[in-house]
Amino acid sequence: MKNLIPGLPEEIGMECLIRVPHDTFPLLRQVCRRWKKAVESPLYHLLRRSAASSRRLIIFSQAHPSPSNESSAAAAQKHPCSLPPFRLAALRPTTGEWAHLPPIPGLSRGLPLFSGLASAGTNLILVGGWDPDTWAPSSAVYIFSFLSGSWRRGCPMPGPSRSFFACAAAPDGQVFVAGGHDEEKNALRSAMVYDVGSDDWTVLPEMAAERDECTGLFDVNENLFRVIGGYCTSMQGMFGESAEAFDVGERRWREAENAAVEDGECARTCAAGGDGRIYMYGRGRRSVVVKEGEGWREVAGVPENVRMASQMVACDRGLMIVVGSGSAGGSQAAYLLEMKQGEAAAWQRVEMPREYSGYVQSGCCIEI
Amino acid sequence: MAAVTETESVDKKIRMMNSSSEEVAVENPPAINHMPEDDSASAAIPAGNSLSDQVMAAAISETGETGEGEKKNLRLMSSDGKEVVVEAAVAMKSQLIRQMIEADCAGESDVINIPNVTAAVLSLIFRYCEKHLGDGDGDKAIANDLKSFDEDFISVDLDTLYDLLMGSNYLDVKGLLDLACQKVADLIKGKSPDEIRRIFNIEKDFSPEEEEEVNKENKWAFE
Repeated sequence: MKNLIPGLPEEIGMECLIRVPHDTFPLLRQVCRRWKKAVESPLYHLLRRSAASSRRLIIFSQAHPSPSNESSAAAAQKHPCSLPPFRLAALRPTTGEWAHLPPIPGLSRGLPLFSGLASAGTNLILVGGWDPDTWAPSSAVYIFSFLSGSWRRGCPMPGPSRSFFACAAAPDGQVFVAGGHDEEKNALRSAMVYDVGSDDWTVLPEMAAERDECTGLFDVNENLFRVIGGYCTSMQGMFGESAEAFDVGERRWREAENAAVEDGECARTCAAGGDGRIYMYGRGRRSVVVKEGEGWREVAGVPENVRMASQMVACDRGLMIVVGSGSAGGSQAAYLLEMKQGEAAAWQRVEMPREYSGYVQSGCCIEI
Repeated sequence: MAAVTETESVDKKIRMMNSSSEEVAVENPPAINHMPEDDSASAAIPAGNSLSDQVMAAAISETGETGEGEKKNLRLMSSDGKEVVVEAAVAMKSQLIRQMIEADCAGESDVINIPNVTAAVLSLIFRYCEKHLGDGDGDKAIANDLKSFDEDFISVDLDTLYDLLMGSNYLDVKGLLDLACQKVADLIKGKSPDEIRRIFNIEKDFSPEEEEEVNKENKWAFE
């Protein structure tokens, strides 16, 4: 009988394999059939977590930093309508180490702009977005698998092109999409879900409200896809304060709730904490607040240099990261916040080395 | 439970591995020797006189009270028929031995049978245990020193590494098992699939099509 590691009992063989760094997964797959099967198994990743060998990574869609010898005015003159190329960066919050993920083959101008970014299991999923050169909305789906260390194409989003929609993934590989606007700038209420395993899309019932530029979160505790804020066609740019949630079990939308967003705030910074609660910027972007019952409780003050154009990513086990700038067009800064039993410990500045100092468009957390 | 393969040259390998070039045969960590020793009578032995009680008494009693350490030794019989004497506190880093003591399994002769581990490997394992007696003390300087010790300790040839894996698994010494498993993981990373198969004696069982498929997946290129 062939064991994972000949000469060692199977459990010990497994205990050894689960301790490799995640960038070694592709190598394990190449050794033999048993190793390939092992690293692709759910048990492998479960054991890895139990042994505290898994690592949390924050994945950002981030712009190339502008060349240091070029002022932004000069850059704008050169390419009046284009933004620097975007690529995926991975930050390990506990050590402050940054790395780049491989680029998507064939996309020489970087990632689509404003695409949905979500994680499920050992996969990152990129949905839609705009072509970096033409700004034409795309329906493409790209999946990065940490098991193979490479990208593949997924089945494109069906239906009319969609921009600025809510996107969030459930851990089992269901990627939900809702709202946004179509080519005529009509706000959408339609929704659909992509299954990473079967590589196909299923149309879902429509939301109660049209929601352009809404924010999507997946609530693992309640098994809900939450869609927050956004505005309808007639209320261009006036963000609403309601939210609705798709009950995955019952396959229907729950009634919209009001005051889902703190007074007048944009839902852009909403993040689903590992504790199932919703966090966002509040109090005029001066604080991080958490939803408690009908209202919002202040958790921590937001440092001044991350209050604008911010992204907040919340992870398991009370970890939160915010990226933003202090002024419009100002340089990016990032902070880590650790929550212990619902109380915030201090903010810790995360250094953004030059190669990783560009504007951050979106982020998600993955544990591998 | 796994059978430990015994090789004649384990002793020799351990001698070679010992980077400070002390011979294991000569090196005598205070807690381990191969000669039977009388159980030293202590001034305050509790009423029960079984091995378990004596060990527990020694564990509870303060050393240094009388200026002498009241260290209780245990006698173990290895798989290769040698008696290994070890300080009880050290041996009890093995959860298996600890449970045997607590359940009073020593038997009449007060010798504990360890049918799966050779004397040489036992010595090695107890050397780790002794160094890690104070684990959890939280002192940063000690932690760094331990880390350095661990790195040296686990830098052994593959056969010895396997012995340590099996031995620490059987004796249930979690820290050492984790260290040894991590060492194997470290040996895997950065190598080519061919090298890994060679090191670990793994048969390549992919069909040419399967192999091509995996390689392709690892380097996806559109169009």
